[in-house]
This record gives sequence, structure tokens and C-alpha cells, in this order.
Amino acid sequence: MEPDTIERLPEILRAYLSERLPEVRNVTIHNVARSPGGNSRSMWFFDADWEGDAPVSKQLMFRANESTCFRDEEASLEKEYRIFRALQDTPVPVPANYWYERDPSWAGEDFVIRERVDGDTNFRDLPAESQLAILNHFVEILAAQHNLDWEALGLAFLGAPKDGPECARMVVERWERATKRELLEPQPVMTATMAWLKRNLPTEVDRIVLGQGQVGPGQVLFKDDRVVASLDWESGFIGDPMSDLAYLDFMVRQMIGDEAMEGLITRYAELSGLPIRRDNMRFYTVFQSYWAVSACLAAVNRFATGEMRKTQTLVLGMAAPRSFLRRMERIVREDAA
Amino acid sequence: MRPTPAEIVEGLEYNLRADLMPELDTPWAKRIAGNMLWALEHLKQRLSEEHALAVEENSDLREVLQAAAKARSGNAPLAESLAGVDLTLGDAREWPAPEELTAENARLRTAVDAIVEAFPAERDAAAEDLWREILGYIARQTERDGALIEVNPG
Repeated sequence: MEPDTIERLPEILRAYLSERLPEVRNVTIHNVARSPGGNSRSMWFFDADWEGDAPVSKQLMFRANESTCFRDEEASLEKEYRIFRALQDTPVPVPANYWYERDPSWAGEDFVIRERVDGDTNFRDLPAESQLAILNHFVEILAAQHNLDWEALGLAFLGAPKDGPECARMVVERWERATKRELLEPQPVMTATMAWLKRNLPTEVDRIVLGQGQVGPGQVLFKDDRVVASLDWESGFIGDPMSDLAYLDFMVRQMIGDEAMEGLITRYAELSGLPIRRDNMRFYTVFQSYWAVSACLAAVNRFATGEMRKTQTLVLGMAAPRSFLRRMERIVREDAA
Repeated sequence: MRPTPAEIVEGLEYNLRADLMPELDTPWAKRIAGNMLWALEHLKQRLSEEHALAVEENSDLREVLQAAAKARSGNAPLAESLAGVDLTLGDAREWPAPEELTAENARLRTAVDAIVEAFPAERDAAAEDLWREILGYIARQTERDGALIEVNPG
């Protein structure tokens, strides 16, 4: 967002809430603070107050469409808002999303106003027993999420694969297109990884589900060893449930150890009623590295072309994908050995 | 000229760390200051190493293209797969300017990338040797980029 918009944000928020909540009077805005979390979209926390009653929390978040790494074609703010709204009364706990605003006269770009849920995201520093308690609860939520009737929830707009083989093919094609669009210079490691992905596409999918894309620690808020909100849905998709499980495995196995991770996977299988397909998980672990680098390429592109010349874009684009690039390089080399 | 660009960057890093960062009191401002320190350290690294690494990278790419040309000439299936790839090495000057290195890198890397894209899934021993050579280049290129990017500003 432009600096003058950021400076005027408290007044913009006051005027916006006054218009959206005609039943209340004297709206005031306090404690506007930029959220240091999240790497993609800019967010501000704020408190609101008013006279009268409205079915809206007074602890709120402003989430701007401006993104360092995602493009609307793959992960729009509107798509995320629609998923949040669809999940509102399901077993997946999500913050209330009140408004998605398209009119640029307010803040110069699209934005969402969302409930701010009280909780923590710093999973890594928790004691082991708390980590495991949270993960056990999270696996219950993930299994419930993979049992949702996404068609009945109105989520077919996300693009539903017609069968098992199309699940992986769709995401691979989507992100190959995104990579080619964003690349400013050839990256043979990306090309070699894409060849690996195309050679290893899974075909067996036991249930086509609503997936989150990025799951687990970092994407959830927790409190008293329970997950209180699932936060990040911009990468939501319809497809293979093993994708989410692979992401969770990749994010937490090193932290909690093999035995605990295998316990979580067994529990997920029992709760979801789905068999665990290890080949699919391996495919999605490689795909997620490709996906992470591809998303970061958009940040490099935005910085280099002047579309978003900010250091947060530079650092996300250049530093964040290093470990994924190294993993991809190792995988294609091991595959050839 | 003294001070060198790297020395000037170090001066900027000092002021950011000693004078500005202690005055920052919001998590977001601290995060951005950390990003700026990373960017300064990255700049310093590029000033001192980028030119030499770019020379090394282009020489590495030339070797891959030479190996590809050799493999293609004696291998009919490989020749068919790589028929559309331009394997011309072009001229390399002994003391190239940075912009010449960049342009040369773009051309050579595009050719290697095209080889990777067109490479046959079914390979005989000669094609397998070339593939291993390409993977070796990818590993070294990942290392070279890492040397410039995986910096720790402390």
C-alpha cells in the first residue's frame, strides 16, 4: 500500500465501519499496528469501538490484497475470503470474515476485514507435550476438513479435478504456467524438477477433498494446547488429501521425531477413513518445494520490474526459497543415481 | 577508489544496527530493519564475489554445451530430442564487463535449460552421462547462487 494510505488507515477504517454498520454510532479505531507475521499479504491489527450493538467483533484485522508472492490467478484474496465464509459453520475453526471490499476508493486496492482471534502462532518454542497436543487436535481438524462436502459448501469454484489422475496434473500445470510467467532468467533446476514431477504424477486418489495447501504450525492459532483458528486459506484447492498430509509431515517431522509423526499419520487415517498413500505424499513433498520457489519467483519479478520494490519482497523472493532449491537439486540428482 | 563500495555498505550496516534499530519499537519495523540488513549484506557479497562467480558460471555452462554437442553428434535419439536446441558457444572475451557476462549467461543458460526441457526420459549410457553432467552443473549453480544469497547479517 502507498505510504499515505498507511498513514490514513485509522480514518479509512473508521469511515468504512461506520458505513458497513449503520446500526451503530460513533465508531472509533484504536491500536492500529502492522502484523509482523505472514509473508504474503500485508495485515494490520486494530481495535474498534462503537455505541450500539452489531454482530461483529471489536478486535479486527485488515488484510490488504497487496501480495509479495501470490498472483490473483493462483491465490486471490477474494478466493480466500470465499473459502473462509464457506467454512464458517463447519468443524474447521476459522475467524469470521465480515467484508471483502473491491472498491479501490477506500484504500486503493481490495481488502478484507476479519475477526482477530486471540491465540499464539509460535509453535516451535513450545514444550514437546504441548506441540503434540496441538498437533493431535490439528489432525482431528484436518481429517474433518477432508470429510467436508465441498460441493455442498459451494467450493467447486476452486476448480474440481474430474478424477484421481487429474488432481496432480491440474496443480502441476497451474504452477508450471505460473513459473514460466514469473521467471526472469532460466532456472534449469526448476525445469529438471518439473520433468521429475511429470514423470511421477500420482494416479490413485481415494477421495477428492478440500485441501488447504499450507497446513499446520504457522497456519493456525492455538491456545491452551488447542487449535482455535485455521488462518491461511489462500492456497486452498480441491484435490488429493495426501498433499496436505505431505505438507504437515514436511513441516513437523524434524521437530517431533519419526515415532510421533507416524502416530499422527495413523490417527489421521483412522479419523479420515482414508488410506495413506506414501508415493502420493512423496510426490507432493517435491511439488511443494517447486510451488514454494515458484511463488517466490513472483516476488523476485515484482521487485526487479519495479512493481513492488520493497525489501520484504526482495528477501522473500531471494532468501526464502534457498532451502527448497537445494532440496529440489538433491531430489533430481538422487533420482538419476 | 577508497573507501570501497563494500566499506561503504559496512558503514550503512553499522548505523542501521547501532543507531536506528534500537530506536524501533514495533515488531514490523524491527522485521523490516532486519530485511534491510540482509539486503546490505547480500549487496556486499555480490560486490566482492559476483563477478568471479559469473565467470565461473559461464565457463561451466560452456562445458555443458560442449558435452551436449559431442553427445548429440554421436547419438541419433539424443540428436532428435535436442534438434531444436542452439548449442552455439559464442565468443568469450578474456576480461568481460559485468553486462557482457550477464548477457552471455542468459544466452548460455537458456540453451542448457532448453536441453533439460527436451531431454528424453528414456536414455542410453551416453545420454545418461550427459544428464549427470547437467545435474553436476545444476548442483554447482545452486552452490554459487547460495554463496551470494545465504548470507547471515548477524
